[in-house]
Amino acid sequence: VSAFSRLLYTLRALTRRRQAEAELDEELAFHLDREAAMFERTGLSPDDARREAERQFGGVLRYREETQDVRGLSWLDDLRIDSGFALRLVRRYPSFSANVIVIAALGIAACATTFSLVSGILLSPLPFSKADRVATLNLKSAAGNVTASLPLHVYHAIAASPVIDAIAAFFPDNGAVDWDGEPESIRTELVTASFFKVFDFQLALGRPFTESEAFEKAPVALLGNELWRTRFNGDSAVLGRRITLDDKPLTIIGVMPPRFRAHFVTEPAVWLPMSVTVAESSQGHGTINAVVRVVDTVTLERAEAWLGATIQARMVENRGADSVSARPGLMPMSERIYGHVQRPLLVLLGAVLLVLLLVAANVGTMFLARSAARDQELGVRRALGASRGRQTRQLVTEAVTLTAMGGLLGVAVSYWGVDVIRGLGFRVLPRMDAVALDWRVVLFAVAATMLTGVVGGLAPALTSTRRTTTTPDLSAARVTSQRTSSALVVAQIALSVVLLVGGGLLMKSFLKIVPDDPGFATEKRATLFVWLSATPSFPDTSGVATRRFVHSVSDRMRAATGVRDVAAMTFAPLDGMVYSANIEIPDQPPPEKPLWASQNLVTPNFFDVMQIEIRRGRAFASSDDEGAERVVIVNETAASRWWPGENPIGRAITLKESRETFTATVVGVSGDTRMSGTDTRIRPEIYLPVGQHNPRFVTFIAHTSGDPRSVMRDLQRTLWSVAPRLPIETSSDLATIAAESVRRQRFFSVAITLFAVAAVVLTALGIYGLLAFAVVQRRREIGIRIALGAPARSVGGLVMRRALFMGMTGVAFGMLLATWLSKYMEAVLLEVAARDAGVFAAAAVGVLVVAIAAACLPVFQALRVDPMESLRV
Amino acid sequence: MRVAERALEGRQSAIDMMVLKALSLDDMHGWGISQYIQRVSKDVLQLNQGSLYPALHRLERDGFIRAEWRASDNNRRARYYRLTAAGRRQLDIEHETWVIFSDAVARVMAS
Repeated sequence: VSAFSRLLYTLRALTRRRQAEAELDEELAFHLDREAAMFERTGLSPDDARREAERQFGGVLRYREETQDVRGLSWLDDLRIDSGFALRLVRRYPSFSANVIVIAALGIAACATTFSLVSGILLSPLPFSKADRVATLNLKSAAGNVTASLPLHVYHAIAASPVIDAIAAFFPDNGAVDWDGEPESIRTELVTASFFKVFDFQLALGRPFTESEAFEKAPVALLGNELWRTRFNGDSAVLGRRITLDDKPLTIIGVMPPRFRAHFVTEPAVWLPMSVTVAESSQGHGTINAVVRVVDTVTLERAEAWLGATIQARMVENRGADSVSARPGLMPMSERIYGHVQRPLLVLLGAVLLVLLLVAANVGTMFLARSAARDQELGVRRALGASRGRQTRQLVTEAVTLTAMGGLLGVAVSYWGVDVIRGLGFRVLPRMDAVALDWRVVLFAVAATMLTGVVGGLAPALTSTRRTTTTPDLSAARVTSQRTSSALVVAQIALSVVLLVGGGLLMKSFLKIVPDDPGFATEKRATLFVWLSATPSFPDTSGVATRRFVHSVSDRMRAATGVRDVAAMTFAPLDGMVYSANIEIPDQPPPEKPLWASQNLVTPNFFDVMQIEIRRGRAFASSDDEGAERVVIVNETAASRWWPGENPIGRAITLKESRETFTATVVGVSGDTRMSGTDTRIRPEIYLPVGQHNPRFVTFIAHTSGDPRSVMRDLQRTLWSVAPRLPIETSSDLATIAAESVRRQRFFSVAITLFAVAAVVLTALGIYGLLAFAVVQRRREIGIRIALGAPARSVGGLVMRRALFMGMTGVAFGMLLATWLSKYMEAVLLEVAARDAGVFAAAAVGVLVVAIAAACLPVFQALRVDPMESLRV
Repeated sequence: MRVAERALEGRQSAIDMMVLKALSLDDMHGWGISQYIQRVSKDVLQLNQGSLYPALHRLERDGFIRAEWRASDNNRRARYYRLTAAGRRQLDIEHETWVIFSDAVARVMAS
């Protein structure tokens, strides 16, 4: 109560300040008049009576001021005076002030920008009401395996459970929309009518599906907001219009809210109704993916426990193995959407906070250096009766005024920085659309500003106010302030080491997973991926038809200008999609674990176009067709694993496909490639000739003479000239795919490395500033040493020793801190130990080298001190 | 021990307590309070009348008393203070503390 009423009182006093002052004057005047009147009645003259009244009162001005102090205005007055003074100081020390402002601005901009990621992704509420009640369903086995595919009877059992408010099934799909003759492959999402109950949100336009529409699979659709804006210009008259999806006309009944994509990674372009009962009878694959909304009265944990206790299910753990018993599990929607980036983001936030501390320490050293130059002014202030607290307040206000300017600038910069980071994080991090310069970010920036300002102001205040006024022992004062700045510089060095270790670990982890040589050419290779499913746009999926399609598309593309050669394979490398084949080797005893290999159907010129060397035997030829003997090419890893120390050429392998089992003869061994991207282990790979199989997934790889993007339209049109209206799933190029495959890791490692570099630069500035200042302060001493014949080595040594001492101490503390903090890094590192000795050593050496380099200029300045000049001062 | 520490906060809290006591009898303006203290203490407590005002404003800030402008007996506007419920509680606490403390001091001095 008291704190609140005090605040109210101060606020009232503040807003009605003039009135309050007038009221106080009136109150005091009333008192004096009454007192004087009393004395007049005892016979004193009016003048004497007034004097006596004032004597009784005991100093009108004094008590008036004391009362005003009570009113809590004085600190505000102080603040006004101090910040006014600080602003005058900016004009007096422009370069110093500019330094502080710029460093604070950069630090705060970097921190606010990075914090916007945390704010947008982790802290901002999910775009549906009571998101904490929504979860995805899965099955967990006792061994800890998880599958999101639920048998239908489990779905129905969960739907009937009392802890479940609503359950909805969804099925991600693809479709081809016809835009005036040009087919576009779009992402569709089939959802049950209850989906809109599970995710409780407002449509941008129209209405959701009804139960009966879902049951009948009625020809209605909801548009994704993105598609609505790009294809229909955000026209609200879109309701009732039709689109043609896979040759079926659909009526548009609504539009999703902006950027709505539930828990899906990409925003579906069209949402279609589905029904679990219909799926049951027609699709028949027996399993379904589902989301639930748990009733308000139980927690997700309790609901999960309840479901686990009441519902028995079975799941298949390994392909080909028997099913095991499993329990239904709930994964909270928040975890489903951003759980996988929470760790890396928190590591990044940690790095940001370290940088912030470093900026604060840096600003602190700068203020310390300047306060030493202001000794006299501060001494005079104390002599005139400024209390220690008052002086501290003044110094802190000065520092905060400067960093506030920096903070303002920093927020302005991060306005642009947030845009940049959104570009960088797009398709790397979830929820990038929620990342903005929101109130949390601004609040964070304000807190960061205050922190740097307070540290910046307290550092000199704590050292300078300690001195006594009567004996201004300046040399003693210098020692304290130098000691404090040394401590601050050591802190900066330690923080740099920590950041360098963190950045180094992430970079090393990143470089390990980025194959410098994936084993095939990536530049100037355009890719087009199509799926030959039995849709109206590609009705005949017999081997003859698909082979003819591959052949004629390749031929026509090859004829296009700017195209050197065209090959085809199953899935583009590094794209995350791999076709695994089960292998047996006929003349060997069956191994304990079944053998698997990535399998690719390729055209004869594939190895040429991809520049994959054939190490042994031969590549495929056009003669490897249906009539010929079945052949296969294996990579070196497969060859050495399956026939160690033997010549694999002429050996046979048996492929067990779902439709057929056949044996093929090895005719060649290809060089190893890293087809599967971020996974560094090279797996056994086998290549089969297109001519002997039925290619249903086809990626055309065009070796172009120029930028592969420039011929993309031509390549697409060429493909449509062979198969009109066949949707192209993806068109890209290998260099882009390779870069994309490691984007997330690259994003975090680049971000943290940038911080580390900034940290080292700041630290170097701090070391340089401190030593240079020390040289200036010790001019006279250095002059005397030189005059007395000290050799350059010892003069330079004075400065260098100090740098080395600070460097070593800082590095030692930094290593300890980094060792302790590295355990939090473990979860985000791939293929690198959190205590990688190389990285730690490199960080330590790097920081020491920087410390020495930063000391070189001050050493040089010390050597140039002219003894005559310095002694005359 | 706590009691002694509190009471020894000194003159300031003594003034606060007397102000609260005065206002517990009736609403008064500043001058009235100073007259009351002088009269009741039989002129023993010769404190500067001015020191009442920081105390009054502090008590007002802390919510123990509330102020309002009223016409005084000579028809001028005067700032009258009134005890709040919190102030009444505070007076009880301070009074009790004071009694315990002064008793204790008296016993020590008499021994």
